[in-house]
Amino acid sequence: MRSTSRAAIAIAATVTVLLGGCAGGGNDAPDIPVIHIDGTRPVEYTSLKQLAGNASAIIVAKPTGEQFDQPLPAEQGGVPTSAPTIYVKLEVNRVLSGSLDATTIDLVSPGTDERTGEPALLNGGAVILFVTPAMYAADTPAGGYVVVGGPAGVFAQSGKSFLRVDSESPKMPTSVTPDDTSWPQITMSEQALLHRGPR
Amino acid sequence: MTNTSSSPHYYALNEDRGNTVTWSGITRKRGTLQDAPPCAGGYWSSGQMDVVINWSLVNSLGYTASQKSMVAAHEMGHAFGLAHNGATLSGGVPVALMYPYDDARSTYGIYSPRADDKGGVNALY
Repeated sequence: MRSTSRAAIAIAATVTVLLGGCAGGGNDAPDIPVIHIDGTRPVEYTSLKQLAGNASAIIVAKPTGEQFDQPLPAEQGGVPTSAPTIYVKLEVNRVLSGSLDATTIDLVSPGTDERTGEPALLNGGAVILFVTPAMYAADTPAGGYVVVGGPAGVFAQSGKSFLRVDSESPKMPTSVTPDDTSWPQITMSEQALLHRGPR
Repeated sequence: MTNTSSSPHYYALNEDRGNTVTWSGITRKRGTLQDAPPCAGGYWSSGQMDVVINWSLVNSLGYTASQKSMVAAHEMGHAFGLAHNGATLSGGVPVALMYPYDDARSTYGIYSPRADDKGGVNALY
Protein backbone atom coordinates (compact mmCIF):
# COMPACT_ATOMS: atom_id res chain seq x y z
CA MET A 1 0.00 0.00 0.00
CA ARG A 2 2.89 2.34 0.58
CA SER A 3 5.96 2.78 -1.53
CA THR A 4 8.04 5.47 0.13
CA SER A 5 10.15 5.85 3.25
CA ARG A 6 7.02 7.05 5.01
CA ALA A 7 6.03 3.45 5.11
CA ALA A 8 8.66 2.85 7.75
CA ILE A 9 7.37 5.75 9.81
CA ALA A 10 3.80 4.56 9.51
CA ILE A 11 4.75 1.02 10.41
CA ALA A 12 6.73 2.23 13.40
CA ALA A 13 3.78 4.34 14.56
CA THR A 14 1.45 1.39 14.13
CA VAL A 15 3.75 -0.89 16.07
CA THR A 16 3.94 1.74 18.80
CA VAL A 17 0.14 1.83 19.01
CA LEU A 18 -0.12 -1.94 19.02
CA LEU A 19 2.51 -2.36 21.69
CA GLY A 20 1.07 0.42 23.81
CA GLY A 21 -2.53 -0.60 23.37
CA CYS A 22 -5.26 1.91 22.80
CA ALA A 23 -4.50 3.75 26.00
CA GLY A 24 -0.94 4.41 24.84
CA GLY A 25 2.19 3.49 26.67
CA GLY A 26 5.21 5.27 28.08
CA ASN A 27 8.76 4.72 26.91
CA ASP A 28 12.21 6.23 27.14
CA ALA A 29 12.01 8.21 23.91
CA PRO A 30 13.17 11.85 23.85
CA ASP A 31 10.69 14.35 25.21
CA ILE A 32 9.12 15.05 21.82
CA PRO A 33 5.35 14.64 21.57
CA VAL A 34 4.12 11.98 19.16
CA ILE A 35 0.87 13.27 17.71
CA HIS A 36 -0.93 11.23 15.10
CA ILE A 37 -3.89 12.71 13.24
CA ASP A 38 -6.21 10.07 11.81
CA GLY A 39 -8.56 12.51 10.17
CA THR A 40 -7.93 14.30 6.92
CA ARG A 41 -6.42 17.74 7.16
CA PRO A 42 -7.33 20.59 4.83
CA VAL A 43 -3.84 21.90 4.12
CA GLU A 44 -0.31 20.57 4.17
CA TYR A 45 1.86 23.28 5.68
CA THR A 46 5.23 23.57 4.01
CA SER A 47 6.87 26.66 5.58
CA LEU A 48 7.01 28.80 8.69
CA LYS A 49 5.69 31.71 6.63
CA GLN A 50 2.62 29.71 5.68
CA LEU A 51 1.93 28.90 9.33
CA ALA A 52 2.45 32.54 10.29
CA GLY A 53 -0.18 33.60 7.76
CA ASN A 54 -2.82 31.95 9.92
CA ALA A 55 -1.30 32.83 13.31
CA SER A 56 -1.66 35.76 15.68
CA ALA A 57 1.59 35.00 17.49
CA ILE A 58 4.60 32.72 17.56
CA ILE A 59 5.49 31.90 21.14
CA VAL A 60 7.75 29.86 23.36
CA ALA A 61 5.66 28.20 26.04
CA LYS A 62 5.84 25.44 28.62
CA PRO A 63 3.07 23.05 29.67
CA THR A 64 1.82 23.41 33.24
CA GLY A 65 0.24 19.99 33.62
CA GLU A 66 -3.28 21.46 33.91
CA GLN A 67 -6.16 20.55 31.62
CA PHE A 68 -9.93 20.93 31.31
CA ASP A 69 -12.68 19.85 28.95
CA GLN A 70 -15.27 21.93 27.13
CA PRO A 71 -18.29 20.20 25.57
CA LEU A 72 -19.11 21.01 21.96
CA PRO A 73 -22.14 23.34 22.22
CA ALA A 74 -25.40 22.05 20.74
CA GLU A 75 -25.57 25.06 18.42
CA GLN A 76 -22.28 23.87 16.92
CA GLY A 77 -23.69 20.41 16.24
CA GLY A 78 -22.76 18.91 19.57
CA VAL A 79 -24.66 15.78 20.59
CA PRO A 80 -24.32 13.80 23.81
CA THR A 81 -21.70 11.54 22.25
CA SER A 82 -19.67 14.38 20.74
CA ALA A 83 -16.11 14.44 21.96
CA PRO A 84 -15.30 17.40 24.20
CA THR A 85 -12.61 19.90 23.33
CA ILE A 86 -9.56 19.30 25.49
CA TYR A 87 -7.67 22.36 26.70
CA VAL A 88 -4.26 22.43 28.32
CA LYS A 89 -2.63 25.35 30.10
CA LEU A 90 0.79 26.68 29.16
CA GLU A 91 3.04 29.38 30.53
CA VAL A 92 4.12 31.86 27.87
CA ASN A 93 7.84 32.38 28.20
CA ARG A 94 8.50 34.52 25.15
CA VAL A 95 6.77 36.00 22.11
CA LEU A 96 8.89 35.54 18.99
CA SER A 97 6.55 37.32 16.57
CA GLY A 98 3.13 38.90 16.71
CA SER A 99 1.26 39.86 19.84
CA LEU A 100 0.17 37.94 22.93
CA ASP A 101 -0.01 39.68 26.31
CA ALA A 102 -1.10 36.81 28.57
CA THR A 103 1.44 35.01 30.71
CA THR A 104 -0.64 31.82 30.76
CA ILE A 105 -2.91 30.59 27.96
CA ASP A 106 -5.58 27.96 27.53
CA LEU A 107 -4.68 26.00 24.43
CA VAL A 108 -6.70 23.37 22.63
CA SER A 109 -4.56 20.25 22.79
CA PRO A 110 -3.50 19.40 19.22
CA GLY A 111 -4.23 15.70 19.70
CA THR A 112 -3.26 12.77 21.84
CA ASP A 113 0.39 12.19 22.76
CA GLU A 114 0.77 8.57 21.75
CA ARG A 115 3.66 8.07 24.16
CA THR A 116 1.46 8.64 27.17
CA GLY A 117 -2.16 8.59 26.02
CA GLU A 118 -2.52 12.06 27.53
CA PRO A 119 -3.53 15.21 25.69
CA ALA A 120 -0.55 16.53 23.77
CA LEU A 121 1.21 19.45 25.48
CA LEU A 122 -0.30 18.64 28.86
CA ASN A 123 3.19 17.90 30.13
CA GLY A 124 6.70 18.05 28.80
CA GLY A 125 9.34 20.60 27.99
CA ALA A 126 9.23 23.94 26.23
CA VAL A 127 7.66 24.23 22.81
CA ILE A 128 7.49 26.82 20.07
CA LEU A 129 3.91 27.29 18.91
CA PHE A 130 2.16 29.16 16.12
CA VAL A 131 -1.09 30.14 17.84
CA THR A 132 -4.36 31.72 16.78
CA PRO A 133 -7.66 32.26 18.61
CA ALA A 134 -9.79 29.13 18.93
CA MET A 135 -13.08 29.42 17.06
CA TYR A 136 -16.01 27.23 16.12
CA ALA A 137 -16.76 29.40 13.10
CA ALA A 138 -16.16 32.97 11.94
CA ASP A 139 -16.87 35.43 14.74
CA THR A 140 -17.69 32.52 17.07
CA PRO A 141 -14.77 32.24 19.49
CA ALA A 142 -14.40 29.04 21.47
CA GLY A 143 -12.10 30.63 24.05
CA GLY A 144 -8.36 30.30 24.32
CA TYR A 145 -6.04 29.45 21.47
CA VAL A 146 -5.24 26.66 19.05
CA VAL A 147 -2.03 25.70 17.30
CA VAL A 148 -2.12 26.53 13.60
CA GLY A 149 -2.01 23.28 11.66
CA GLY A 150 -2.20 21.17 14.81
CA PRO A 151 1.07 19.27 15.20
CA ALA A 152 2.47 21.10 12.16
CA GLY A 153 2.72 24.26 14.26
CA VAL A 154 4.53 22.62 17.18
CA PHE A 155 8.32 22.45 17.67
CA ALA A 156 9.54 20.76 20.85
CA GLN A 157 12.74 21.62 22.65
CA SER A 158 15.63 19.22 22.44
CA GLY A 159 18.77 20.86 23.80
CA LYS A 160 19.23 24.25 22.19
CA SER A 161 17.03 23.41 19.22
CA PHE A 162 13.31 22.91 18.84
CA LEU A 163 12.45 19.93 16.65
CA ARG A 164 9.55 19.43 14.26
CA VAL A 165 6.88 17.30 15.89
CA ASP A 166 4.63 16.47 12.95
CA SER A 167 5.70 13.34 11.04
CA GLU A 168 3.15 14.14 8.33
CA SER A 169 4.61 17.55 7.48
CA PRO A 170 7.92 16.51 5.92
CA LYS A 171 8.40 19.78 4.05
CA MET A 172 8.52 21.83 7.25
CA PRO A 173 11.92 22.65 8.80
CA THR A 174 13.21 19.82 10.95
CA SER A 175 14.45 22.20 13.64
CA VAL A 176 14.32 25.86 14.62
CA THR A 177 15.89 27.98 17.32
CA PRO A 178 14.37 31.00 19.04
CA ASP A 179 17.36 33.27 18.45
CA ASP A 180 18.75 32.03 15.13
CA THR A 181 15.64 31.35 13.05
CA SER A 182 14.30 34.21 10.97
CA TRP A 183 10.75 34.27 12.28
CA PRO A 184 8.15 35.42 9.78
CA GLN A 185 6.14 38.54 10.47
CA ILE A 186 2.63 38.13 11.84
CA THR A 187 0.28 40.09 9.61
CA MET A 188 -3.19 39.55 11.10
CA SER A 189 -4.58 40.48 14.51
CA GLU A 190 -6.61 38.11 16.67
CA GLN A 191 -9.79 40.01 15.76
CA ALA A 192 -9.05 39.85 12.06
CA LEU A 193 -8.38 36.12 12.24
CA LEU A 194 -11.58 35.52 14.18
CA HIS A 195 -13.57 37.48 11.63
CA ARG A 196 -12.00 35.64 8.69
CA GLY A 197 -13.02 32.26 10.07
CA PRO A 198 -11.30 28.93 10.70
CA ARG A 199 -8.44 27.70 8.53
CA MET B 1 -23.99 14.62 5.14
CA THR B 2 -26.89 14.88 7.50
CA ASN B 3 -27.28 14.03 11.13
CA THR B 4 -28.68 10.57 10.64
CA SER B 5 -27.71 7.12 11.78
CA SER B 6 -27.50 4.65 8.94
CA SER B 7 -26.86 1.51 10.97
CA PRO B 8 -26.21 0.45 14.56
CA HIS B 9 -22.48 0.74 13.87
CA TYR B 10 -22.04 3.85 11.79
CA TYR B 11 -23.12 7.43 12.35
CA ALA B 12 -22.56 10.37 10.01
CA LEU B 13 -22.36 13.73 11.71
CA ASN B 14 -21.63 17.34 10.94
CA GLU B 15 -19.98 19.34 13.70
CA ASP B 16 -18.92 22.98 13.65
CA ARG B 17 -15.55 22.32 15.23
CA GLY B 18 -13.86 25.15 13.36
CA ASN B 19 -10.17 25.30 14.15
CA THR B 20 -10.54 23.57 17.52
CA VAL B 21 -9.56 20.38 15.73
CA THR B 22 -6.95 19.81 13.04
CA TRP B 23 -9.21 17.83 10.76
CA SER B 24 -11.80 18.57 8.12
CA GLY B 25 -13.13 15.07 8.64
CA ILE B 26 -12.47 12.21 11.00
CA THR B 27 -13.52 8.66 11.83
CA ARG B 28 -13.65 7.97 15.53
CA LYS B 29 -15.01 5.53 18.00
CA ARG B 30 -18.29 6.96 19.15
CA GLY B 31 -17.91 9.31 22.09
CA THR B 32 -14.13 9.18 22.23
CA LEU B 33 -11.69 12.05 22.06
CA GLN B 34 -11.46 13.70 18.69
CA ASP B 35 -8.12 12.35 17.60
CA ALA B 36 -7.94 9.07 19.47
CA PRO B 37 -5.85 6.54 17.55
CA PRO B 38 -7.55 3.45 16.17
CA CYS B 39 -7.32 0.11 17.90
CA ALA B 40 -5.73 -2.74 16.02
CA GLY B 41 -8.06 -4.15 13.39
CA GLY B 42 -9.58 -0.83 12.48
CA TYR B 43 -12.88 0.64 13.53
CA TRP B 44 -15.29 -1.61 11.67
CA SER B 45 -15.19 -4.43 14.16
CA SER B 46 -14.83 -2.23 17.23
CA GLY B 47 -18.46 -1.20 17.60
CA GLN B 48 -20.17 2.13 17.01
CA MET B 49 -18.26 4.81 15.20
CA ASP B 50 -18.73 8.34 13.94
CA VAL B 51 -17.70 9.71 10.58
CA VAL B 52 -17.64 13.44 11.18
CA ILE B 53 -17.31 16.37 8.84
CA ASN B 54 -16.05 19.64 10.32
CA TRP B 55 -18.81 21.62 8.68
CA SER B 56 -17.84 25.17 9.65
CA LEU B 57 -14.25 24.57 8.55
CA VAL B 58 -15.03 23.15 5.13
CA ASN B 59 -17.54 25.94 4.55
CA SER B 60 -15.07 28.60 5.70
CA LEU B 61 -12.55 27.19 3.23
CA GLY B 62 -15.14 27.18 0.44
CA TYR B 63 -15.21 23.44 -0.21
CA THR B 64 -17.42 22.36 -3.10
CA ALA B 65 -19.91 19.52 -2.74
CA SER B 66 -17.38 17.25 -4.45
CA GLN B 67 -14.68 18.19 -1.97
CA LYS B 68 -17.01 17.53 0.95
CA SER B 69 -17.82 14.13 -0.53
CA MET B 70 -14.10 13.52 -0.90
CA VAL B 71 -13.61 14.16 2.81
CA ALA B 72 -16.41 11.72 3.65
CA ALA B 73 -14.98 9.10 1.29
CA HIS B 74 -11.54 9.45 2.88
CA GLU B 75 -13.08 8.92 6.29
CA MET B 76 -14.94 5.85 5.11
CA GLY B 77 -11.52 4.51 4.14
CA HIS B 78 -10.52 4.88 7.79
CA ALA B 79 -13.78 3.20 8.78
CA PHE B 80 -12.73 0.22 6.69
CA GLY B 81 -9.42 0.18 8.54
CA LEU B 82 -7.13 1.98 6.12
CA ALA B 83 -4.33 4.22 7.38
CA HIS B 84 -2.98 7.31 5.67
CA ASN B 85 -0.75 6.90 2.65
CA GLY B 86 1.48 9.91 2.00
CA ALA B 87 3.03 8.49 -1.15
CA THR B 88 2.95 10.57 -4.31
CA LEU B 89 3.83 10.06 -7.94
CA SER B 90 6.20 12.39 -9.74
CA GLY B 91 4.82 15.91 -9.62
CA GLY B 92 3.27 15.36 -6.21
CA VAL B 93 0.16 13.51 -7.34
CA PRO B 94 -1.20 11.47 -4.41
CA VAL B 95 -1.49 7.77 -5.15
CA ALA B 96 -4.48 7.26 -2.88
CA LEU B 97 -7.65 8.74 -1.50
CA MET B 98 -6.00 8.03 1.85
CA TYR B 99 -3.44 10.79 1.27
CA PRO B 100 -3.64 12.86 4.46
CA TYR B 101 -4.30 16.33 2.97
CA ASP B 102 -7.34 17.67 1.16
CA ASP B 103 -5.46 20.33 -0.81
CA ALA B 104 -3.32 17.93 -2.86
CA ARG B 105 -6.20 15.54 -3.44
CA SER B 106 -8.34 18.43 -4.64
CA THR B 107 -5.61 19.78 -6.88
CA TYR B 108 -5.21 16.43 -8.62
CA GLY B 109 -8.85 15.35 -8.54
CA ILE B 110 -8.40 12.42 -6.18
CA TYR B 111 -12.04 12.38 -5.11
CA SER B 112 -12.69 8.63 -5.10
CA PRO B 113 -10.83 5.43 -4.18
CA ARG B 114 -7.76 4.60 -6.24
CA ALA B 115 -6.16 1.22 -6.87
CA ASP B 116 -4.09 1.49 -3.69
CA ASP B 117 -7.20 2.12 -1.58
CA LYS B 118 -9.10 -0.75 -3.17
CA GLY B 119 -6.12 -3.03 -2.74
CA GLY B 120 -5.93 -2.10 0.91
CA VAL B 121 -9.57 -2.88 1.57
CA ASN B 122 -9.36 -6.15 -0.34
CA ALA B 123 -6.33 -7.12 1.72
CA LEU B 124 -8.20 -6.44 4.95
CA TYR B 125 -11.44 -8.25 4.14
